[in-house]
Amino acid sequence: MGTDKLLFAYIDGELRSCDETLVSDHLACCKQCRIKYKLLTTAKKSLKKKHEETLAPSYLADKIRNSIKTGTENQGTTKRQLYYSPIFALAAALVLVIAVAFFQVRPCQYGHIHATNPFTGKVVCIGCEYHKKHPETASPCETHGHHAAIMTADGRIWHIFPTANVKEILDYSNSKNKTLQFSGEFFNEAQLLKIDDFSLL
Amino acid sequence: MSVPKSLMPQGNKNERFEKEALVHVNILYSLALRLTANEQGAEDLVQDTFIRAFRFFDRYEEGTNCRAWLCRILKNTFINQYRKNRKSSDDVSFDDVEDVFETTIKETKLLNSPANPEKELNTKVIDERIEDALSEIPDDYRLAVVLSDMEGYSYREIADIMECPLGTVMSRLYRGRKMLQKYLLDYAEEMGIVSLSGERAGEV
Repeated sequence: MGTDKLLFAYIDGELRSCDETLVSDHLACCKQCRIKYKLLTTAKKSLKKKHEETLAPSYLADKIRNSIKTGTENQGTTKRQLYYSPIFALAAALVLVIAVAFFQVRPCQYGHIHATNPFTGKVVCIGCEYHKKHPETASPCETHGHHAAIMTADGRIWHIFPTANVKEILDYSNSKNKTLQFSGEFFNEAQLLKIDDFSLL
Repeated sequence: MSVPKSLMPQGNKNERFEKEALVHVNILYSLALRLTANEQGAEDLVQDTFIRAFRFFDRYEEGTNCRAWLCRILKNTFINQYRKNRKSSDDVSFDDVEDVFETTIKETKLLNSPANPEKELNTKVIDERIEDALSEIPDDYRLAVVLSDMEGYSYREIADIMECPLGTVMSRLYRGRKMLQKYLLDYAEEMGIVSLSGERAGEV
């Protein structure tokens, strides 16, 4: 087992020169290792050759350019920036709570829909959803814990306005992945949902 | 000295992306083909990788290795979206596998094989079989092998791309290559180039 590891490192050029000499001396006198060596260097060369010879289909680059173009157009900047940092979005939600509580400000009518007929959604974790979309970043849930949000049928994710009556939803360990019927107000700009009434199914 | 990314004109992004990232489309496709083992899957994987890369292109530091950066995104995209329905290294209990391999290789009775097996393990045999062999090994090991053998990355660079410790790269390469070796040796035995078991060779 030890010799194989050395042999692989030798093939990959990862050994110091003194160790390299050790391996090449051993190869000179051990037929079994020589076969493995031959097998693996040939495999390595063969793979490299195949790699160099492989060409992407000619239309692929254009297809990518197109999807980048449409992808960019589809994503409004507001949405992207909110997705960018869930913590920032939470802070924004908090500011809104304070504003409503202390200054009795009625939320602006613009971009805000009152849903009287029950809507259906699913309880998801906004941190996990963000991480799914952007796996190259660290999972926010590892440091901040899970944070319940509502995913509507169109795939959009809404922060929950943390009023006293939604404690049951905000307790993510209890509400995780549950389907929910609710009525309330959607604040499009803030991606915020103020739930008036709900039932967890 | 470099201009902050936020101050760069937006129009520049497409041009820079074209020049620095999209030129690697063949390389990414080739790697994706080995990871997904089918052409449609490889196309989708490459496309998703580039879309994601474009979205995060502001974070790519100019002058660093764009190819390796793309490889990392390819790896993440693959792990998240494509490998769900393929076998992963978790499905293989390596303790069992290792025992079998060690025994197989130890039992390789070279004396019973033709006079010069080194010569007969020729390029043609391996060329024919290497892709099949590769597709047989679990994703993590295959990725390590592909990055080392195809892209020629050092262990350190592979660790950066796979976002794992150096020791993990070495053990993935070790296990992946052991599996390749076994597959190729089995094939060589079928072809009568080497004999893996003395007893069987004795019966013949």
